[in-house]
Amino acid sequence: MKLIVDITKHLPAFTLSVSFSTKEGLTSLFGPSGSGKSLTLRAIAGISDPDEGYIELDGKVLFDSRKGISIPPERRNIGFLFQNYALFPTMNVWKNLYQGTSRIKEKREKIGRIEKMGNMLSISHLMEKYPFELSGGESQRVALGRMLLTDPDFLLFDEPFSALDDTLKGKIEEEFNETIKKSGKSGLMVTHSRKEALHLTSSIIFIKDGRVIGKGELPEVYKTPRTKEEAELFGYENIFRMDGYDVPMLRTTLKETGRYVLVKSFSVIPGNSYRVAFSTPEENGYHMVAYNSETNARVSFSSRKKREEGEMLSLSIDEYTILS
Amino acid sequence: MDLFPLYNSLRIALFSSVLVFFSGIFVAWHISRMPKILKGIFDVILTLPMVLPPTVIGYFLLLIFSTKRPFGAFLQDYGIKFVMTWYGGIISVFVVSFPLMYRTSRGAFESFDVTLREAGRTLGLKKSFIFWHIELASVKDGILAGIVLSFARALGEYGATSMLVGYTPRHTATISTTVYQLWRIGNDELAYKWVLVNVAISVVVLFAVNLLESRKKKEGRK
Repeated sequence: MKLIVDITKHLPAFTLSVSFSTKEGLTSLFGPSGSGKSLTLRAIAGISDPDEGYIELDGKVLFDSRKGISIPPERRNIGFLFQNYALFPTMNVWKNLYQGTSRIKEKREKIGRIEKMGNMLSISHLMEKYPFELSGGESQRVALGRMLLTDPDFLLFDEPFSALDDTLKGKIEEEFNETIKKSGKSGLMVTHSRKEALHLTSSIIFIKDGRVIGKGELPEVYKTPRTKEEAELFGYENIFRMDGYDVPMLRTTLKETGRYVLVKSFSVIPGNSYRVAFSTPEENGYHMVAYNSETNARVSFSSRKKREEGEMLSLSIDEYTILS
Repeated sequence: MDLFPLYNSLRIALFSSVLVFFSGIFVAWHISRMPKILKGIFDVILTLPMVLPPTVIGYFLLLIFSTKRPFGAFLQDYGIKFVMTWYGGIISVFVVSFPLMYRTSRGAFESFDVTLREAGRTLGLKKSFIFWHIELASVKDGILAGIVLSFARALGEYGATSMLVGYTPRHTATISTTVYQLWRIGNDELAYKWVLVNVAISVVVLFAVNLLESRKKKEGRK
């Protein structure tokens, strides 16, 4: 399922102007809040039309301002998982799921599909409950099931994990991942979490101030961000310049720990002037990127050996790749 | 004890409540979707009868419906007369109780989560289905509370009604005008009885409103 988007929308204090296309699988629409991510999603779903532009899904035109085409959301067959899940409060779980079967004619088939979906998402025991009686994770599963029952051609997710407790996110993300993979559907997920993007999606589109500022495959883009902006968006916090040839070691202070960091064997970087970016700490060390500001050469490091020496954190580079 | 005032009060309240119900929902739904400035203007006009003294409202109504005035005279040519008739009471009670219905249901419509409407559309549901089964169902308790409140107000209305339709025994007498009349002629015993009837109805109504409000809170807990 290939989605092509090229739209512009003017708001009083903000202009959204984005152009991109997606590949098979799940794509992240990544950026800080207020960058226009949700607005883009709403335009694709047909809830809020852009002022001008073009949206196409798998060869089917959904919106074309020049030809005056705008297919209403109920006929786009695009699933939308809302940030707050938008379960209907006056209906129990079964009735909520039932609303996802409006395109199926036969009642018996509707009931059968709901039962199957209930088993697949382990929500069969919740059928009689009302939305206010459900936990965050349960609500998400019901909303997911309701959306998948419509058998959508494409999936849209608006920050699907932001309403959940941090402690539960890991497990729920895992189940979510499995369900989407099983459905074999492609989609677009709005997020500003690096972890979610890396864990759940295979490509990424960066968006900032209403514009697309980069795109690529995951996890490659994360390991070697091409620009300082991409690095920043991904949570690389300690970006600074390095000058001088053959620097034997790098000594600096990391923002999040406030501690000195000593990077040994730094001399592997050829060239003169570098900008070095550290990722936020990972389980077993840091991931780093260095840029040569003249030649644009990039070196990607990973450091798994971490030793604490009093105030000092010592990192030994055990792997590096020189990228052109 | 002649029960005509109870019967008359109930039928006036019933008819005006039906009118208030439909017009209240219709107006509230439209105004809840208006831009801010327009909403403010309409809101003041429609809420005015709630804060004006009912006698002033009655005075305005007489200005419009008196048979000595153009509009009232025009209606009289067609055999319709709202002054000194029982159904004139429907008009006065309607004007006084409308703001209660309008404000309660407007609040309910405004607190409705619009993403529910949008979610319904992405699921392929028809717009009319979404309005009746999702939007109206979600604001149902607010609307019920509104109609109960305005029904209660309708039953107790005195000022505007006494101005427009006065007090004619077995013709335009309502509970509230009867109580006044009985007190005036010194029939305290019967006046007490009607006071008790009035208090009993009000208590039931307020219990109903509280019940609906607590149900609304429970549903909105998530």
